[in-house]
Amino acid sequence: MGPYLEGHVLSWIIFLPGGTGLLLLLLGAALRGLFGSDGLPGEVWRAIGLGASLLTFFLALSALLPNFDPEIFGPQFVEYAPWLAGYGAHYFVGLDGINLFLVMLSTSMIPIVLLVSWNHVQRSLRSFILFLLLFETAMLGVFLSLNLLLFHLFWQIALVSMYFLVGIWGGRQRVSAATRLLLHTGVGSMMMLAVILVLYRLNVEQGGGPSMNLVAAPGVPFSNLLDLRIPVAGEGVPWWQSQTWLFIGFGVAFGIPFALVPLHGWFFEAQAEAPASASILMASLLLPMGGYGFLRFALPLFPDAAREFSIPLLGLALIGILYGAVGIFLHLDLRKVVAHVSLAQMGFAALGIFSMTQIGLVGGVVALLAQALGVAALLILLSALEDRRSTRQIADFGGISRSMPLFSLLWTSVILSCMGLPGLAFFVPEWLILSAGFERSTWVGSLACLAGTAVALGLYRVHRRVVLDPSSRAENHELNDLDRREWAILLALLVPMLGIGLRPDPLLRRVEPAVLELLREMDERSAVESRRPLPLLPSPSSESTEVGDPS
Amino acid sequence: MDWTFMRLIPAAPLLVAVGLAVSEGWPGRRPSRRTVSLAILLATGASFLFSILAFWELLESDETSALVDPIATWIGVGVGHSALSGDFVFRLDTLSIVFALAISGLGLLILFYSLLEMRVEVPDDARYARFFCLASFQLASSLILVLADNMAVVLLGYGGVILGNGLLAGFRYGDGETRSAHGALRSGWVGQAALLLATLLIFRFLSELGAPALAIDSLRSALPELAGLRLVGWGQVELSLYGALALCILLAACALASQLPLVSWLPASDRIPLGAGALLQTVTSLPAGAYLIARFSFLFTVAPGVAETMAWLGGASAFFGALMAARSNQVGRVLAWSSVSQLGLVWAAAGAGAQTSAVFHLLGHSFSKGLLLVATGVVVLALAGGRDLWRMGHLASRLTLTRLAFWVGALSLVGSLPLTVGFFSTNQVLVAVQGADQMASHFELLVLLLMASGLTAFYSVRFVFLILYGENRLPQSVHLEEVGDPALGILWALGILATLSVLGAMIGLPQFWADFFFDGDVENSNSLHYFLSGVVSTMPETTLGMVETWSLMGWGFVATSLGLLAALMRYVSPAAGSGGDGLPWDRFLALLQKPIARFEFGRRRISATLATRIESRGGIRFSDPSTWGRGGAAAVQERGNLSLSAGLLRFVADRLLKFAQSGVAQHYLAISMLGSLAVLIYFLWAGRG
Repeated sequence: MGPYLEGHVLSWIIFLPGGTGLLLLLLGAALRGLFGSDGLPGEVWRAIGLGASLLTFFLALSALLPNFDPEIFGPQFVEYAPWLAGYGAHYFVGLDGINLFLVMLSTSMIPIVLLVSWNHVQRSLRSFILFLLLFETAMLGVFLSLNLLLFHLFWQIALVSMYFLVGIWGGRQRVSAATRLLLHTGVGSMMMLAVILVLYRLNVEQGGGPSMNLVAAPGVPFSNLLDLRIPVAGEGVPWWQSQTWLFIGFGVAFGIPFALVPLHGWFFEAQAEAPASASILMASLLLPMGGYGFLRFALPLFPDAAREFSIPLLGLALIGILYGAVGIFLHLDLRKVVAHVSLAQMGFAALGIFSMTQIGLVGGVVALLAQALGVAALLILLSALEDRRSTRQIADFGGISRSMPLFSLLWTSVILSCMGLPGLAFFVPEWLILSAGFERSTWVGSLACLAGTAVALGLYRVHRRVVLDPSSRAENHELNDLDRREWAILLALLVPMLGIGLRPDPLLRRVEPAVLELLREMDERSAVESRRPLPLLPSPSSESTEVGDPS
Repeated sequence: MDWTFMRLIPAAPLLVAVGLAVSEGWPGRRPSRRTVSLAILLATGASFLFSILAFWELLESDETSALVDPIATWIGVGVGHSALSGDFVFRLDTLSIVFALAISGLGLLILFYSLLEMRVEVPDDARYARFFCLASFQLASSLILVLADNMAVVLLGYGGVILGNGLLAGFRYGDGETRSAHGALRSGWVGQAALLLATLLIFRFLSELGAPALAIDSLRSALPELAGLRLVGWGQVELSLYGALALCILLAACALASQLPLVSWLPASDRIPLGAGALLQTVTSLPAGAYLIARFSFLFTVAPGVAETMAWLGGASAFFGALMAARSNQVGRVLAWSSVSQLGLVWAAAGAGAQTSAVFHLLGHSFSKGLLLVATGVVVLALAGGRDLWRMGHLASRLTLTRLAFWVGALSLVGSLPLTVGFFSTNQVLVAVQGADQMASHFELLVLLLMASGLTAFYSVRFVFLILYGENRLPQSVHLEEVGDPALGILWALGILATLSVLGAMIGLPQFWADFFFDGDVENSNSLHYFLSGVVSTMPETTLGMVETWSLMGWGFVATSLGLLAALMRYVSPAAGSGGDGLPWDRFLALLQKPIARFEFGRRRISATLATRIESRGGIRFSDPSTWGRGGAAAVQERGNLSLSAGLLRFVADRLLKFAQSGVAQHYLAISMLGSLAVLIYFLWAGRG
């Protein structure tokens, strides 16, 4: 690693894509101003954008993954720089087990999306690339920020970029879909901002000065957010200073992008109207962003309120799974079907996160990843179908297995993975989350198990109608199979999916310490005695599997 | 020893499956047929060899314990009492080795035949490779299932088996084929969910005991501490944890073994290649289902209610399967229903507590049904794919060696010749049911099973006679002179299977018969029982008194003879094949079928089965290829069966959800704001409480 990179890996990763975009913008303006030309052509933008995002990915792959130490519980690769010290806003980023794989996911998704949309986007290609790159930077910033204000800033950039991606390059109803997206997330962001202001005030009162850092940063004298004592409701403080209300604020803010059931109103329309690229990003990055917010901020800051709301939240998660299952059965538009798959799988992730047990939280993090990969693969396959048939109604398909064997093979594997077939990606989180559900309550677990079965059967039904069932439509008999570009893109998604399914151990080993740290923070900050049974020492009988080995 | 042969048993076929799958997905040349054939035979042979070596390893080691082979970590989170760990661990005990040997050994023989069948049937190299990819995947998954040490690996193997079922059943992508594939996958997924539920329950309650583990052994050893745990209770209805676990396992096993209530998928897949059918019925899916029952037999001993349910489900499947087999006119379908019926006997024996007899009957069935399926496959190949029983006949003169195979297989199935394995195993099942005093209704079950064995005799004789004897009813395109015995390789496979069907009885000869034949010189003749009894929770070998045994045998003989007689009267008479609707037996059967057919669950799944129609040629036909496509099945689907589910969905969509989807942004915004508000109010309310 060169001297510029040393100690600044995260900054490079965060700002490389967005910085490239802005540089290209400046360069284009300069060219226009100096030579009166049209600026840089869109094809150049696209090539440079792909290069920058690939570079970011390889940087993350080579610098973060091998150097990440799974033994360390707290954040690593920490970078800190004072920024608006008077308001407690600092540039403070760090990496731990929870966001490590989300960062990997973000850096890999953008090149994939660029490749998927290679032939799709013709109009305003330059702005498209710019917004994609800005979105990547924003997502990385969201995942890596350890300062609440910084987080909020990146959060807004991500949402605004997504608004433009949907609103400019979307389908016929794109403007209304984009407006709905912005209104929803805007309301959420306002609530987040309100909570941030309250926290600011509390921090000034208790810690002696403003600091919006989550954990201790070098050189900041004031106490951090996680040192705050935030009272639960009814302790003689104004209601808006109580954990309950602050948690609700964050819950709404994070629940909207998380598509938690009563707050999911924007999701289907946006998914259906977005261009393929934005729909992939929405499902694979925007949804996990909401879940991540809960993991990073809402749970550790307001542990008592979170525990209090645990049961209703678990109920919402269950409803989400069921809602997704019903939607999979009902909808005729494949994009919407896939959106409901996302919703159901996010329901599983929510179930894991809100179970607030070790297994469940690990499962929730893995579910965010597995959902992102699986749904992205489904959407890419779907866009390949759309390219060939210019339709995405289920009824127009059928009998594709004969004309597109390779497509069918990949589609089948992805569907099976989403159904939770053991050995494929989504089985691992589903199993962990269901176990956590059973740990919490047999009823929650059983209902989730049934709902998961309904999702699987619905998915199988879709699969059957698209790929297997004989179709009388002649068009379906003469489709071209996947070409090498599509095949390579899908392979890039399928390999990690198989990896998660068959060898989740490296992943789990890195996520688990971070989850333990999260649970420790929750327990430490909790005024009420924890209802969660703490992990005991490993009991001797857990080794009983070895009994009988003749050696 | 940290390394045993057992991990290699499923590895070889798995490797071939993965290799073939990759070669399918990889752009470029496909492997040639010769390469594929060689690979699959070598892999299955290697798997068999490794099973023998592992068997030897097991015998070398201390016989009472199991060998455990931890291969790799898989999913593991947490420590202490909330630790969830499911690693790739195999275990080998007497039960798994019996099944591993049977799966790999019989699989090898069946694949010999499949090679021939596929060479003739499949036009292109790609599909040839695909078939053997699926076959070896199915073999590997079953082997993983029988070698699994903990529930996670059980789930993995189970998932593989049901996936293989669906893919094999849908191999031809024809109209009927995809339907059967859907049936297989759907029932399989129900079973998978049940198994998952069982796993989660085990985790939950073992972690409450403070020792979470998913290993089957630890469940077994923790069983006494879980006694009396009530899971659900509504008034009189109670479900203990034992009962819930046993029910889940039972449902999962029923889905694999095609038993009531998930009976339909196997008979529906009657047009798949016979090699694939043989694989499903004798090597992979059905034995895997029976394995699950035997593996979790300890649950059934503590949940007698579920055990009785299982016995009755088995009895019903046995009777119903035999009845359907007696009236099916398509060879694949007859054999599939017959397998359902025979597995029903396995269920009955297991439910009566005689788990080792169940395993014995399963093995005997695998031998004889494998023989019959391969022999039938020879005929079907000779007739260029003709599968209609009524377009065969008079083939005995041309198939001089194959007809022996038919007879041995059929007699073993009937269980009337005291040399075949079927005789002893069926007899043992009946003895076990008669001796099952813990079941209140064991006498009624016995009567049902005797009726089933009468029907079995009927359909077996009918099957053999319609194929081999009578007048020549071959289609015009096939000439009798061109039909002949198959190639030497297949004859070898047939010979080995026939030998097994006869001498296989030696592995589980009941003591009663050993005393009878050898004059008391042989001690502990039922070696299978003693071999397995350390692992499988089974009753001591039931021995009835001399009088009881002989009278039971007498009743069995009467039932069988009635069936034989009826079949002989009906099909060996010169008028065979020329429309015999008037015979009383036909009318009796038709009368029986109608009410029983209504009992089938999942009517839509088997709607084609029920698309009954009167055939001019002979009696009621339950299926005809012409009704598969646009005729019966589609009509039924459009008119009747679909209406319930589709109507419900349409109702939900039109009446309930339509309001929520106006397409106007303000409405959506209003709805979601209302939703947010509702959540806020709820939170407020919950926060107070």
